[in-house]
Amino acid sequence: MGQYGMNERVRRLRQESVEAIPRISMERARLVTEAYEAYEGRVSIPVLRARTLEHILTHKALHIGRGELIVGERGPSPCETPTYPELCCHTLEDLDIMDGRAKISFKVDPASRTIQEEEIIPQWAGKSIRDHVVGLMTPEWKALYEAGVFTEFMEQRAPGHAVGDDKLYKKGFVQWKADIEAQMDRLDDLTDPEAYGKREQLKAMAICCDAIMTFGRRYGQAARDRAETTDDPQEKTDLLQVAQVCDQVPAQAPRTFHEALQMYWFVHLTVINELNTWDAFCPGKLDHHLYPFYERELEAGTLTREGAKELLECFFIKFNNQPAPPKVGITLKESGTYTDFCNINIGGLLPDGTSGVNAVSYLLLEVIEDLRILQPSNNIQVSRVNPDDFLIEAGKVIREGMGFPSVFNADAVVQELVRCGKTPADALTGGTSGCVEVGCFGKEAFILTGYLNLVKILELTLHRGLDPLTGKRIGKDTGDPTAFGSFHDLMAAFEDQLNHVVDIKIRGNQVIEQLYAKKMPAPFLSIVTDDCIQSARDYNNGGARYNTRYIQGVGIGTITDSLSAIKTHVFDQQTWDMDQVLTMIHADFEGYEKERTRLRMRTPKYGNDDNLADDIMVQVFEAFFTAVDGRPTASGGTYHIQMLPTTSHVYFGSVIGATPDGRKKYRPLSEGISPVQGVDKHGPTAVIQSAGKMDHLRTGGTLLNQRLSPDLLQGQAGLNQLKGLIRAYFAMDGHHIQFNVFDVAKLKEAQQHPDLYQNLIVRVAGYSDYFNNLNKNLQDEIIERTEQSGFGGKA
Amino acid sequence: MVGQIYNIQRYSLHDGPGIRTTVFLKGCPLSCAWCHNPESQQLSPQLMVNPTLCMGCHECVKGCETGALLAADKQMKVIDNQCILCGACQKACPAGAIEIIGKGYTLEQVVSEVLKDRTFYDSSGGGVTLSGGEPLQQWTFALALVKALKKEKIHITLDTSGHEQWAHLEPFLGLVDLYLYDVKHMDPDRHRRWTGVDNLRILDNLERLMDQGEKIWIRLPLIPGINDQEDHLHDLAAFVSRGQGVDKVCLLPYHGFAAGKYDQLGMVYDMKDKKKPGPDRILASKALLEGYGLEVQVGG
Repeated sequence: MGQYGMNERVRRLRQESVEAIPRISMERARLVTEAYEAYEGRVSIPVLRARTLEHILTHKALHIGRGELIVGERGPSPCETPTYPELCCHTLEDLDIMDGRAKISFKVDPASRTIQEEEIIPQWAGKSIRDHVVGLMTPEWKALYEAGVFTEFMEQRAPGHAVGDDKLYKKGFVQWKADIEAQMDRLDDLTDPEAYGKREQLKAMAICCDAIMTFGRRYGQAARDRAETTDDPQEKTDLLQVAQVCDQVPAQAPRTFHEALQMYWFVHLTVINELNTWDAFCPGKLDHHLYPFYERELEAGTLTREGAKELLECFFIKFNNQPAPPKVGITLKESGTYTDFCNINIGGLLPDGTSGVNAVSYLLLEVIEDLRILQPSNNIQVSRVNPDDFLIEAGKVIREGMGFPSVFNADAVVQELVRCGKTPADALTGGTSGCVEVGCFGKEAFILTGYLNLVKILELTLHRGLDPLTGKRIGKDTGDPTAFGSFHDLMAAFEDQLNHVVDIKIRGNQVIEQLYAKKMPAPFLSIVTDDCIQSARDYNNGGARYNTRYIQGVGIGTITDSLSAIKTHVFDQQTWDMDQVLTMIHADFEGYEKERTRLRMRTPKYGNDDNLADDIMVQVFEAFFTAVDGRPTASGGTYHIQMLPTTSHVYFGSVIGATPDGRKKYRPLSEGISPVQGVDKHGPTAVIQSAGKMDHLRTGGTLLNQRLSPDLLQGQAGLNQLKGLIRAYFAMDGHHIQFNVFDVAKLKEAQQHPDLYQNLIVRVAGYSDYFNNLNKNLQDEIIERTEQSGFGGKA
Repeated sequence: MVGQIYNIQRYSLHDGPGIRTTVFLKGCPLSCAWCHNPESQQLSPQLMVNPTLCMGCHECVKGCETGALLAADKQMKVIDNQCILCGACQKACPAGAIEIIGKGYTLEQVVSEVLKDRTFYDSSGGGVTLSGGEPLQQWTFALALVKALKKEKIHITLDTSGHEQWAHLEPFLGLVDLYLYDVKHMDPDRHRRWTGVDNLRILDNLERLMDQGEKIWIRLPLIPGINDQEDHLHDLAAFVSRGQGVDKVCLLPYHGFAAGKYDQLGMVYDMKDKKKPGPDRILASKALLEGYGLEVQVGG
């Protein structure tokens, strides 16, 4: 297990990566500022963005770490993290908070602080996207946002969620540029009234091709220069090899396994230098893309299995060197992690619908087990046509307890994509990215716009649109709950409130979407996304073949149990009337411990395969689906729903008073589509049966977190049972399941002695994080999640 | 047809292969000193109170219609001969701390409950296990259940002490896919000393099952000082390694987790001071049995 598989080079690079301290770098902010000074107002917006990228890639410092085989960093060195003042211009207070906060901190040295104060803030304050968003949103939007009814993804990071496909390995940027120029030649101002805008967009794309090629050339030269000065023969060989690779890519298509990885990495760095895209960028189906190179080179004898593994490990470490750029405010609360959500897909389906599991798939599982690092996230895509053996091998990694890989239903992913309008052929090139989101790789802009706090909407419904925490009216008066004659009346009021909130959220989204389309195009990302070149439209302006925007529902477990409590105790059994229930929650159950116990222990709960509760879950799901699905977006796309939280369930819980399910005020909500922490009493099969009643195929992704203690996964029998859980859930069209494997005792000890558990990685929600990186609330919440234990017979 | 059942356990991983649902039938002719499911011994229902969940609110005492419950300290006491098991206290308890162990299930109710996880049986090579108590004590119900599940092509495991007339076991031949067959002691007197009955019928039935070529996993609860002596293990190994049938021996090392349940049922636990076997003892026992060419598994 583990580290024995790494060679000396990888071990050292890994160590350096793990020990690197995230710091703020002002390099990019300065270069962007210079570029805007030089070009803003002189050229079109797309060309301004392209020139800015070109300026960055031409002048940014290069870094070649000792022994590196894959080169290039987002910032000047590993974990040195740039800022994006055009999106979010940090105040000095923001920097001080980033520097000082206990978790997810970024060190800010005094010189950087001064640069921010003297050069960046004077240029960008009031001009960033964040400033525009604040200025453009309506008072009702702001009231809901500030109360924690929803979050907004695009207020400090750009639309992204993009994933690369196979075309990255088939063409170099010389050819891309030629394609773009050919497209430009076809424009005719006489017949096309939009030709000017299109030409500017294509011009920008062509400049971006030059920018990435310059970047690659600079690295080749740097490696060659370094090779001349070193006395170490091994280092010289490595550097010359790196130089040769950079001579080929990104200008030309890769010919070797090594060149393929470096090609992807240059594209990755360029995407994340262009803008601070959510979820960075991702190679998607990496095993499928690499396999032809691997097979060919193994055959030719120019690559060994060990050599390929070493390269893959060097490649993985590069991701780990790039913490997600610093977030502040609510955005930090909804996504409190260094993880940047690049999520590599392994296995699954080939474009012809046959099994995509190959030798590189197994190699990747080994790499994951060896490295034990946070990034990149990774998952297996499991189709009915994939062999059991692949699942068993992945199970061996899962039971190591680092939360990787997570597990997706490849057949469901294809159906979900087809339902949302993709051709079956395109759907087969899709997969999942970020946490659990489905997308058509290389052809779709699928943008998450914000988490929706379903439980807060119920709270508003129970208070006629008033926020009981502030007394302010932020929602709609949907009627006096004490006058509701039936559970049906309550559900109708909830749906009314939900639609009201969704309308306000989407109104805001439409404005923000147009803001990015006009002010913040992404011409480089547009090159690698079909069909932006053909349509001569930007990724951020509906240029992709498919355009999707998602709203993510949070707290389905908590809201289901709360509604179940009201249905059971107010309407069915009439234990109490609504007024009494409201009195209890307003008192945070102080003085009502007996009542709270009954609400918690004697009420049907989601996660127990109990139809009374599960039917309510389905009703809430249907209401959310109906409120969102199919609505048009500003740039010609469509809205769909997802059920995932990242870390927003903790934030959302912190803005809600006590709830009728017995939850105390400010406690976290249930996470993903998992049951409320601790209420599932009948084991994972019952949890899976409950979750299976949701129609996953009508979502763009759901997240089910299942905790297992290690003894359940021992031996071949344990792996077989794990496989059984996964296959059964997927037979019910479940979308995704992930496993946390460890015992409570170990976690409690880790909380007491963090220094002894530096390496403890846990599954949070759609991603894994070091336990030590989580704040106390989140740590407690993970400890509380039901630990499933095997129920032995008599012994 | 109604069976007395005290638990239907889903996601049961240690009572046969794959993911299973175990149906625990109530009532047992044995009364093993170390019994881990003391609530299974008596055929008729019993009241059991979970002291961890009980919050001492005495709602149950108020709810009781026969005066069978007394408020005592922070919790409560049951006066057995006044309790008619009406369930009023169970309903009144906000914490779910009171349980009536044992409930009549129709055949259809059990079948519908256990078929819920059929997808998991199919995906893991699992199925349904009948356990107890001693499931053969309600052999007509057990047989009807096995036949109904066989019709659904469910893999069936029968977990039995073997202490039942052969005539009640024989009808299961050809229907049960795997027997989990408990052997507690090879010596009839010592068997009687620790379980209340001798082992003559048990070993006789085991021999017959072996002769019929049935698939059997022997389960030996490994109790220090009672049945973990080398000569006893030799006797056992010699017996079960003859002929066909026994696929595997499962060693179930003693642990004292059940002590609390005895208190909750108002029963006396005789083995309070018994230590669990150390890892050396377990491994040595395993090695000894393996010396007879047996496959040995520790646990489930």
